[in-house]
Amino acid sequence: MLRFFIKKLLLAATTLITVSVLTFGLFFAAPNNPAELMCGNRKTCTEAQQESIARRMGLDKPVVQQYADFMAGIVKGRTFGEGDAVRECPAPCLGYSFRNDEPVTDIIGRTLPVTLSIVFGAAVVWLLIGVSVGMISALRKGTIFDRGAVGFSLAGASMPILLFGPLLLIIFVYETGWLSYPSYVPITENPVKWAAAMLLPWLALGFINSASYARLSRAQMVETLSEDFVRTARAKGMTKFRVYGKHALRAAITPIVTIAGLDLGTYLGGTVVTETIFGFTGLGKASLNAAINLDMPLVMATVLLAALFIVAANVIVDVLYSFIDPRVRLA
Amino acid sequence: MRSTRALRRLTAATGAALLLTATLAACSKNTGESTDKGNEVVERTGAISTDPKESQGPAPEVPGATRGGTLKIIQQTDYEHMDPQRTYVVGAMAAQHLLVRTLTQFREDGKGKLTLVGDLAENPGKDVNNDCKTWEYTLKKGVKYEDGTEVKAADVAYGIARSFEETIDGGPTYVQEWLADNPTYNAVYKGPYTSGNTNVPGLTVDGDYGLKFEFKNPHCDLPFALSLGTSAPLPAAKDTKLEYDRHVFSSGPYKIKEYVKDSKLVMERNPNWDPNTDPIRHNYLDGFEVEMGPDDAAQTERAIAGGADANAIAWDGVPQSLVSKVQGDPSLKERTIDTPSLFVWYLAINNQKVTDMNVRRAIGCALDKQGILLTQGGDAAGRLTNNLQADTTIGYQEIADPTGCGPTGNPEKAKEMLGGKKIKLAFMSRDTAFGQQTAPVLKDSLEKAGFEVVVSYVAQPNHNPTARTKDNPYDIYISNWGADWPSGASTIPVLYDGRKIGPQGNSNVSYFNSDDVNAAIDAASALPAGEAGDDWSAIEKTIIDKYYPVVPIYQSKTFVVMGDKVGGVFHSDSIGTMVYYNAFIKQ
Repeated sequence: MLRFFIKKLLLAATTLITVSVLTFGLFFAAPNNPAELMCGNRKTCTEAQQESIARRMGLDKPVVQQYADFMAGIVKGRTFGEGDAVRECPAPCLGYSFRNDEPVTDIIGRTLPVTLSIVFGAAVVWLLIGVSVGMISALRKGTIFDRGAVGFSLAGASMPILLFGPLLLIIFVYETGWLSYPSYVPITENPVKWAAAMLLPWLALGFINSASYARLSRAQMVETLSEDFVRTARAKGMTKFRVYGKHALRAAITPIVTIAGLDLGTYLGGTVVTETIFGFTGLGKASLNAAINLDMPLVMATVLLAALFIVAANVIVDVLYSFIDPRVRLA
Repeated sequence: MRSTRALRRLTAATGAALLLTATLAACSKNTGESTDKGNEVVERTGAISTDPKESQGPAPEVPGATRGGTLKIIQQTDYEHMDPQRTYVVGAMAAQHLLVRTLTQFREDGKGKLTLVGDLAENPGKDVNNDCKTWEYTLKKGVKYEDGTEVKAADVAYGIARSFEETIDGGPTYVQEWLADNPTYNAVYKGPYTSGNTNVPGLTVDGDYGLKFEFKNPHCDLPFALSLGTSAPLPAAKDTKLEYDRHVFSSGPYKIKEYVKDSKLVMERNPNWDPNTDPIRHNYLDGFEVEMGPDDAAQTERAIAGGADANAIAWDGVPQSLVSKVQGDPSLKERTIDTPSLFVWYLAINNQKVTDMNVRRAIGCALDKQGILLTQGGDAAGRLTNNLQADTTIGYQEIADPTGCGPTGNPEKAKEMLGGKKIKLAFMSRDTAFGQQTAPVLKDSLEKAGFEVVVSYVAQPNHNPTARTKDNPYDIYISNWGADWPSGASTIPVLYDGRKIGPQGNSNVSYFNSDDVNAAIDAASALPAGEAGDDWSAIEKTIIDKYYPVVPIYQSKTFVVMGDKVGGVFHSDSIGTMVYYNAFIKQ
């Protein structure tokens, strides 16, 4: 088990280092001069001023040195600038946003909780609705419920959130006034207001995703129910509840855990559309803005973070697998 | 200069005559008709106050105003800067009016009358020798910061001193350049952090309340320039340098209660603000809440719906998709602000490359200006113009269609102007929605007249720095300008004085340079007070008739919806956006 875990971690670390090298390369490959961008809107942007900005930001050093500084900054923090105009970037320093004039980690610290709130809440919605609808319709295959569920999942899967999100806003906010427009409140500040603000995004993202989970769980469950071991268990007189709930579900859930893990990892990297529709500034919106504004340090950090989430989700899924399916442990 | 809704006001030095009184005719309200003639004409007056009483508080009461409540300002993005010395985007400038006071400020009645009065100062300034070289200011007694201490002259001087620092960037640079007598002012004095002293060249503090500005060259526009954030006071001990962008030390009617970057800014009353010292502002509201994130469509829908957002203003304006909904609902008229803003959009022609005046005129003749405006929302987004100056400028005179080709362009006539020549034009457009919507219209209309147009989409952050680089490879690009104060001196010399062209960072992005225009600019700048408005308009007409260096397209409009409980918010002609110091919530 320990060896399995270490192997997975090493693989994850290698992936992340590769991504960091690639994104760092992107920073230099992009046809922009960050120093020029920083002072480009001033009336006078002389070469001396650009040089001074480049020096402050450490852009005058060799690329390899800059990469080493960047990696060292993650571990022990960095300072940018000189004299009185020093900008501190405490560990784990992922760089300094030229655009926002603050450490990238500050921006992530502010936006990540928003995205986490959206994604985990929505995941609860889509897993609860999706998996239970899928399971029930598998057990009630061919009934009206099953047909209804198939229809629902088709509708959900084909409806883009771009349409469904604004539709929720029109129904619940603009026309009826039942809910106020979402405005993010940290969970630590007021859990009730936090949940109230998250309700619509959870519903929107959760509903859209629950459709594919319903289809997947139904298919998996139908397949499992036709397996020999289920028939054997039933023939041996085991109760329906025990067979479906314990044996069949456990076998059917494995691919769902995989997909859920990957979905979570992907969404944590940013739910741009959901955040935009509901006016949140989460990680997705921040990374989109960074890309538009050519704020390369922030772009690098969000790419790295998105990679981290996917890699972490994979490691967690692998570990979970070994609990759900003991055969995996041997690998 | 990122979008019509959050424009950076470009910096540039001007020298101009002091304006006493002038009148101007301006198109104000859109009546829904599609022709320019359908617009109402409103008399506007602008002046520098000569009556010291006008600089004294309290400000006249706003009819119907009641105390209490919170105004919610919904906007998509955060302010670039909150530090007054670094603030130069109109939305932040409007918020700044609530937080800090400056030496001078415009008093506006919301109907077109502007008066520049003393804000921290007892009057708009004393031109000691009537040569615009030496100016004296005396601060009012009893103006207090949020901690109850008094605002002193040394604090205003310190604010100006820190604006010289290279790291305190982004704000207006007029006062620094004039004091240093050098566009690269930082080379003359480096600011208090770097140099370790506050000895700003030409600026003297006289006791607790006196300030003296001494310039090598005349700068008659100083009273106007001091209405910008540069002259906001800050005690040296309260200067948190770069961190000051997060918490401003208030001297205005409100102070910052909470500021979460990119999320919200909450302001509450400053109990130490004394209305008797303030000729402009009120504090009817308990506070303000700036909510950042929702896009323009969500903002507008919320303001229309009212309910929890009855106290809200949709700052980014009505998006194109909702224009007909807003215009078609008469019940919204009362709570809609629909007025010309001070930004003029024009097609800059690179005069270094397109040297033939007939070709420039043919470009103007072929251009479908109406089509370009339509992509931005038509009447709701702006008004077609042939002027370089906004109609909010004091002394404005409307110019008739200079090519006679009409608002949608005349390809046949343009072909005649070209005389059979086939001209290839490199067009730089933005990679934003604006750029992608306008570029095809421009390309189509010019190509109908026989031009070959090669469009290059450039990332938004690179667009303006490229246009502002002298030897850029493009022939045409769409640019815009918002004057820093409503005088021709804040537009004409900035955009059309060829002697100011440098290698980079140019505001004169058409690279137009003509000796007779330069001489006329000098003459207008040296005119006695109050006579310059007509001269700037005359220069403007000469530039258009004789040289046609750019094609003016449209002057943008502010078109926003407010919740049904919002009162007292009006559009400021001096900064070009809504201001909130008269705001109240209807009970």
